[in-house]
Amino acid sequence: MKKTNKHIDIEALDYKNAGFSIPKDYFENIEDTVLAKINSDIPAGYFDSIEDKVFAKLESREKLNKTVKVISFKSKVIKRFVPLLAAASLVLFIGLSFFNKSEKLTFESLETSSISSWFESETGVVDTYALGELLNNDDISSLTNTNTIEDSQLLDYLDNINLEDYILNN
Amino acid sequence: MDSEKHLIAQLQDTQTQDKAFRNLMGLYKERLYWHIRNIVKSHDDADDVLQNTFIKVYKNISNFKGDSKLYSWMYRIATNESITHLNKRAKQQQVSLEDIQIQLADSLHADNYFSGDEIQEKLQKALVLLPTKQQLVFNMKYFDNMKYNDISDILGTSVGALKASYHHAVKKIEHYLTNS
Repeated sequence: MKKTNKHIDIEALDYKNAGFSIPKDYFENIEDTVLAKINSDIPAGYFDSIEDKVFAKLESREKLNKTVKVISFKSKVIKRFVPLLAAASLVLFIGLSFFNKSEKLTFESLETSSISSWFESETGVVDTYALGELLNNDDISSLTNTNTIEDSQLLDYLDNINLEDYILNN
Repeated sequence: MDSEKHLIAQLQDTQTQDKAFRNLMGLYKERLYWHIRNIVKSHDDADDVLQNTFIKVYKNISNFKGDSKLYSWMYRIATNESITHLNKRAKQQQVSLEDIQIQLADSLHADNYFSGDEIQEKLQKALVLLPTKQQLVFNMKYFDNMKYNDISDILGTSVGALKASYHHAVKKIEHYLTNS
């Protein structure tokens, strides 16, 4: 005998909620939790000065390392000499790499390809609000679409999408 | 409308901002929570997204120009935050957005904060198979009981397209429920 399924009319069922529940008193202290997070957040202008702070810290460490002197030639000093030499080499390497550059490391000096690959790998993480915070009105106005699409590519694309979804969702 | 303008002015004034923001959260926390919960499914995720939504509202309120209603603007932020959250989860697990939603719906039976019946559980499984915008329209119309004009303000889609979208969503869900 052929099995006949009874049609389910969800509008007639008229569920008032999706079946989700919440912990007791959950809504009681949301305001306090959010305000506490906001107040403990990163101070205004923090990111504007972070580069200077990092470089200042690196310079002060370099000066500190330069003032270290060998007091005697005891075995205790020899034991410390090897790690000290390694640390000094590292500081020298960092120093040569960063401080001896005539060009200061800035956002503008980053390769466009590096920025592009970062955006590609971070799709879904960067949202429009984050971009909006980074760009000013002039930046947004100057954005232009430089991609050119061939007619054949466009036809291929239209052949392969669900047109019903596209019409309903756009 | 005047009371909304007054609230916005208070929110943008550093002297009254915190008190006004507390009032704003009191007014919208439940509605925004359920809107977010219907998208992300789990309570813990909804809690995170709700907090992030309010933090974003607080940080961006000074840029709010009043071109749309305040609640439409907050719903848009909540919707974007919810979808961004799901995208992050999908990226972490290296699966598609649809797959992560299917996983979430499949794990509802083991969720302490899901008390729906068999049809409600199946309804969630059917919902996640729809295109994202149809899911949003269905949730806002069916569960949040919102007017089409309000949904239109939030999603930026015409009322006619929303009605068609809701109709298609209902038919697909009923077909799934009837045949599963």
